[in-house]
Amino acid sequence: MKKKVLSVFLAAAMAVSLGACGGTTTPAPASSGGSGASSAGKDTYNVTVIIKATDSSYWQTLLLGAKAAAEESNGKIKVTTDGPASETDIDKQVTILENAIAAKPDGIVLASISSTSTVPAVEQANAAGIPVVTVDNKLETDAYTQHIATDHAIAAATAAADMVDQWKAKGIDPAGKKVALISADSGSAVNQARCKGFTDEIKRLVPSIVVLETQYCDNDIQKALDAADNLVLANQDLIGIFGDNNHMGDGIAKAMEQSKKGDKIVTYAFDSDDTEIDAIQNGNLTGIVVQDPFGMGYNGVLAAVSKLEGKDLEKDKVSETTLVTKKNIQEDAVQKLLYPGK
Amino acid sequence: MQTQKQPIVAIKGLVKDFPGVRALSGVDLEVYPGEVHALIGENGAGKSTVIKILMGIYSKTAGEIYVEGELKEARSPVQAQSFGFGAVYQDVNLAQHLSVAENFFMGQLPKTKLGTVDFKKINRATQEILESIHVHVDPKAIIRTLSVAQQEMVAIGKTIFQKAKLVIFDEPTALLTNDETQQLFQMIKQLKNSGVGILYVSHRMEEIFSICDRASVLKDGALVGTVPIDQTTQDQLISMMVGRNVENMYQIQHQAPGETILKVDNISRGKAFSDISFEVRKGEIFGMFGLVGSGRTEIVRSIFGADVKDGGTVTLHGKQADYVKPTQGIKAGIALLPENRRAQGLALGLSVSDNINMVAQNKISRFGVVNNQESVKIAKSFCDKLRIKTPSVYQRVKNLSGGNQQKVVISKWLEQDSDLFIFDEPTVGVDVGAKLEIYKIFETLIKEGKTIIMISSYLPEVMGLADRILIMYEGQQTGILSRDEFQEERILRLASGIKGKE
Amino acid sequence: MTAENKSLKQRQYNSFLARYQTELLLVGILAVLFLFFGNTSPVFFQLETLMKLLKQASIYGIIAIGMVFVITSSGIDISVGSVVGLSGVIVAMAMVNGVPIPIAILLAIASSALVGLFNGILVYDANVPPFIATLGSLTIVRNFILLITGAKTISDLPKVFTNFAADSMLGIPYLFLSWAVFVCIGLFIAKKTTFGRNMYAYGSNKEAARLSGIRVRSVVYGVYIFCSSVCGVAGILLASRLGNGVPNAGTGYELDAIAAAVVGGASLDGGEGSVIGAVLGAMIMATLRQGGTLLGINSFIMEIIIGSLIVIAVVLDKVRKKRN
Repeated sequence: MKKKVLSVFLAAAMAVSLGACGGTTTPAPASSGGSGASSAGKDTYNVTVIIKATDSSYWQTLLLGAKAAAEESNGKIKVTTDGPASETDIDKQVTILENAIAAKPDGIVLASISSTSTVPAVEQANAAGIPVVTVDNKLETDAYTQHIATDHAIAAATAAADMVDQWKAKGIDPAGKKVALISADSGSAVNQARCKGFTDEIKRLVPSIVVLETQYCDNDIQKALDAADNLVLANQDLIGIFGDNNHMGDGIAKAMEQSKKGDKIVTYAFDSDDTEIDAIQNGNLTGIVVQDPFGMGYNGVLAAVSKLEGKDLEKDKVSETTLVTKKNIQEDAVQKLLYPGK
Repeated sequence: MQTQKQPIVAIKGLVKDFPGVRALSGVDLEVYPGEVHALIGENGAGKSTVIKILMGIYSKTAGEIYVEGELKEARSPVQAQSFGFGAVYQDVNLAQHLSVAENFFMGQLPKTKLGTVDFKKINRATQEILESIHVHVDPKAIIRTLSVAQQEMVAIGKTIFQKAKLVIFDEPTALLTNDETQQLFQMIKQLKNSGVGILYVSHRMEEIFSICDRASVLKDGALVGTVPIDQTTQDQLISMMVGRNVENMYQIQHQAPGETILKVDNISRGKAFSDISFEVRKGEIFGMFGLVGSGRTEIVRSIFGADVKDGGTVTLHGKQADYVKPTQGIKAGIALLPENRRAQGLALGLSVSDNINMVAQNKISRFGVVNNQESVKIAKSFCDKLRIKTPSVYQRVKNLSGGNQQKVVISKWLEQDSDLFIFDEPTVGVDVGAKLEIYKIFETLIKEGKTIIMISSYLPEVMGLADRILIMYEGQQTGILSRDEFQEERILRLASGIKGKE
Repeated sequence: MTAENKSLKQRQYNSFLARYQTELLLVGILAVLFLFFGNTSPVFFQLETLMKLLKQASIYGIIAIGMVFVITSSGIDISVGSVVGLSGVIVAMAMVNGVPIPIAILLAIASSALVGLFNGILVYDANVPPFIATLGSLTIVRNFILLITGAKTISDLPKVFTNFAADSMLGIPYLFLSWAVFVCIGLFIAKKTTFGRNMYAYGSNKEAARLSGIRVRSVVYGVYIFCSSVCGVAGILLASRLGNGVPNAGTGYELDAIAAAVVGGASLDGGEGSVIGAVLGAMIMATLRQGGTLLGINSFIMEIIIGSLIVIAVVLDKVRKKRN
């Protein structure tokens, strides 16, 4: 522990006084071995991957993707990973990023918590010739090499489109019927984008559909369950529910299980967890929109290396999402998405 | 004294209704410049309601208030202040965490050129005022660190600073020592001479006779009468207050002391007291007199087990009794009725019944389960026996008068079957009627073979009630006198540490 | 005192009114809400809706009972949400690892009680202000949960366990019956035991309680342990309801519990608090939330209404107390 702290101090001190110096490890390496900033040679690229939070399986999956890219490179790419413990530690992430830059890696892949506070450090890296690939959260600067992210509105729209198809398959006429949205967080831009994307698309496809007041549930499963229960009670003609993250999906699925309305109401949620996967198989949840954090990590690292090798990159890249339903859940590609690294 | 015809304040037909209760029914009162006007009456007679209406805390239901001849009514304390009214309450109304000077200038702090508070100026101004009334307190001192007396002096200083024309004193001497009281009287005289009108609320007859010019007596919200002090007697005033004739209030039947039950040998505790030794005998009323802070309270707390003493031994009923926890003292039959009953003796938010049954829980419970009927029955029996005035035993204690609250505390220890009762300032904030009843309870207690230790700062009370008096000065015992040795001057001398010809 | 000429019955009636004024006020508010939602939503008075309402209020209501004890003793426990999460995760982990259900439940309650003991020691022995002490526990416990679960939901719980929260007896949900049991336990302890009386005395005046020979340490330990244990039960019920041990379950529930207790007449100064009041407080909040969804009222407006209700209830109570 002491050593780790010491090395952080050293790295910071060097950033101020000496600048680059070989042999210093990047602070708190989460997994990958190897020294972060050995002198940049053409045969080895050191890429530092910084995620939003180490306590989340989503971001851990992103790291798996990054490491997979390194493994497949036959030693050409070395990946160092780091990140704060939780998604609220904005300051810590900035410090981690600054220390990482001080250690002079060849490239950086960054999932930034804040879209502003990491900007100075990223601009500094860019000026020093270190390519920075941002994933998930877009920064308020142009000094990045490539931005890879899910387009949440488009992804949510695919759920809306599939919902309409499912109604057709079940013989439900959606005209004049109701759909509801259950949201985990009213203040998050990502959740807002998902809800708006879903609402816009469903209204475009079925202009006469009634979209009920969004229920906000503080990312609490019980609250989502209660909200779904009450929506079902109050609206006999409710035919669809969209939950904007996996916890909302868990709550909705539980409500469907208890009210046994899974066959009458088409339900979608965003992101996957084990409870949702079970629910899809049991028919309590119609489907989920799954992002590809593994792919973001993998492609992020490769993008940084491509840049170093002098290739041109498109500035903004959309990371693919997949709609998982009972029909495709057993497919290999989907299983890999649901259980990355297994 | 009434050379000027215009009173500072004249109240005519003042009525105040609370939901279901008429607190004041047509009170008339006039205070002239340079007059010290006593407002007396039992608790609940309406004194504080009058004060609160004057000070803009309550609004009146009917009646008229003339301020220097003009019909006015204070709708807020700030407005009352602007009329030139100031008040000094017994629980002083100062910001405890600010300095003396900051309290004086609260809300009107002067600024320096830099926009910071001009502390030099406020400290100097405050110092001047304090010196003019001979109060020796550092203007920079934080209120919380001052003694109660000092705080009160500061509060008076503040009213002078605000150039009040009418200063209301609400029981100002309740927590003061004799010296401090004398000092206060000096200040009041000074105020009076400068033409300020003073409304003086107190339960202590001696004080009223020494400084007041006239007295208005309230009873049950109505004015009984206003009399010039030099044309009346204490007994007459008390009769007006209680509505019946009162003889010597301290006349109770004493018991012949029995065997020694409490023996205290050379006990000490830090700076609070040292080398205290005395014996208390069964059936005795053992008085402890001394200034506030002389160590009396600390001694009894150590005996009870509320504080832990450093040295010496205590023997109770022939057995070693060096207690370190209140539970030990309670088990041994000691009852401690603390000085500040609101802060230490009562759970004010709880009912009369809950308070009465707080100690002797084993009597109302089995295996930790309480029998509510039993506890209510016990509470009711005490309400009858001690004549506790309360609408029901479910009433919250905070709504009771001081005397009735004291009776609730006494009940709780009677129920525990304690045999050594330690009363610390039992009659502070208690009206005359209730005082008499508390003294009657003393009489009953000793008749039943119980023993009483009574701490009091009020000399007439200790001298009137105690069989013997232990006198304290700054943590040392300066003497133990028995009844035939009681002389006011001698006791006061011992209590102020003056070595006389003993 | 003015009642001298009134009949004894009248006086008893008045005294009853005075003692249960807060509760009666809340029953009134609840009745108004019921009438309003009943008249505006066609499904509100349906049996199924009412049973769902009871279910939805139960877990919050149980936590509120624990909270009202701590508040009455002049403390506060903001670690309740974390304890709910802890207990749910522990019961789930134990069952998944083959521990028999009753033992798993005991294990979860015991670990919750341990948190309570920890809070009690911090508050009484270390003299840490209750808000700070339990803020520490909130963080420690929540991160302990994340640590032992790796932030992963624990699923595949036994059907017997997960069915409990979904099932009902004679149409009455087990969840609500559990709540009712705890209301009775809470009432009994608060009104009928020396511990309960001492809690009121201690909350009202710590020094007077000590000088009256009340064992204050056991009062402080007792209320925190009781609160945490009750939250442990709430956590188990929540795990049953969700069918999973969820690491972030219970986050933020402390605020709902405090609100329910305070709406129910508990004073943050201590010495006052009513189990029935807290139950009604929780009921009112659940009714508003359900009614809001049934009527399709905007979520934000609904939360503003709930917030205002908390303030109004407390102000009304203060006004009433001032008048007395």
